[in-house]
Amino acid sequence: MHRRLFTALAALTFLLAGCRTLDKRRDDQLSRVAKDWCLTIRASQVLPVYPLTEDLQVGDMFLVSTPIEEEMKNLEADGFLPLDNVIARIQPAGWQQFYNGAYGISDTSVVPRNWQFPDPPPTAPPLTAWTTAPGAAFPSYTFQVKSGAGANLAIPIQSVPVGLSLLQTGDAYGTVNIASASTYGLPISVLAPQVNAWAAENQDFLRQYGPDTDQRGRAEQNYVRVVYRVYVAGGVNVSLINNESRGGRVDAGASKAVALFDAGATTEAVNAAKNYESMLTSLSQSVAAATPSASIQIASASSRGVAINETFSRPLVVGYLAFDRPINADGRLGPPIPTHARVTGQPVSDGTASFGTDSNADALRAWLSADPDNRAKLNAWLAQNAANTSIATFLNGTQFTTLRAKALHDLGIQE
Amino acid sequence: MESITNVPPANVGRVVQDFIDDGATNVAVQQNPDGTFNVTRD
Repeated sequence: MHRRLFTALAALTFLLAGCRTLDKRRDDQLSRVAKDWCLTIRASQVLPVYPLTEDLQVGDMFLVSTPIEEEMKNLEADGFLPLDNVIARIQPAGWQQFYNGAYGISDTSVVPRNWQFPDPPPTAPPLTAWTTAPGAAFPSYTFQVKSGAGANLAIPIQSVPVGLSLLQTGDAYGTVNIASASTYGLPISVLAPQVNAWAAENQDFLRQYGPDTDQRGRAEQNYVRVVYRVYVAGGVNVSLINNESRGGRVDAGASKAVALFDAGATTEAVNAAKNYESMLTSLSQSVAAATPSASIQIASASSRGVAINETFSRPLVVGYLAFDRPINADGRLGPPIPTHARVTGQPVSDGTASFGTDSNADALRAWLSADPDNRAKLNAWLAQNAANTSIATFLNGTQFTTLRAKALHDLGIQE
Repeated sequence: MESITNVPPANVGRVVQDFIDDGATNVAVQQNPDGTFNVTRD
């Protein structure tokens, strides 16, 4: 009896362990594909949006309370930054002057509404006017899918699982091209004063997010992240090659559940072209019936590979550029720092700092005067803790109030 | 270029000295309409 119970428990444990291994493998694969997608966007010096959304605009503002080191780690691990704490959306002005009346922008235009919901509304697709917006292009993205993961692919487009299904394979090599990409934005010099106006009206709200220290005495600096450019994609072109075919199988064109194109015994070129066209139309209609939420067109198909053009029902934002502004103790915002440079560890412009000094700055000055070697020590500390900010800016910038206290503590300086 | 903005008149000398101590050879001071100053180094 005991032996039977033990055997049953062992079998159950083994089964659960197996499930966990499968789950972990699938999770690993999902996160890897999501990351690959994001890295493609990041390769163009653009921060990726994941999952894709239409609802991200220039003038959107987010509260960033994650320390920069953690943001850098998150970006490396996941490939994207979460956009979860939206605090405001301003409707910026200055479009007409920046674009000088081009791209369908006039004095009365509300961007991007003029492209999202054109007036008069079109009666046939495309229902948007993004084709008149400034164009953009991204590099292609290649990926590989191993058997078992195809149906759960984390890539935010539907063509890939459709293509895998057509090829009847879970082992494929693919390429994704972002199609019909557009972009629009405003320069920081135009947007920053409008953000200042919003910040002045909401100073009490921002003050509660001023610099602070956590329970372990570490400095906490919150930022307002302002989106100043977004990249929109109208669709994707996906090509998939069956890895089983790539591997040198000699039964190409042989039995498949879905009859993809095989020239077969057709000898006349005209007939072959007609048959091929007819097959593509038939496949596209078949796929459209099976995936009503996506507009998918089969561009080419064979037993070895399939190329699919997917058009999003409405263009989606795939990436953005933003700048971060530190929230000062009084609720005002500090100078803008480019987000991408900051979170990828690149050197950022020295920029400007609003004046705000204190007794800690005086203590640091006295310590610097006491020994010429102390300047090198402080610069080394700043490289570690304040993104290589210069000593002069560190001593006089109001956004460094908390960090100055930390410097005194870390360097053992008496006030 | 590096700037400290909205510096009260009483603190301008201190900020300029900080820039010089930091190795600056060219420091400019510009007055704002509200009477504060912007101190900039090249």
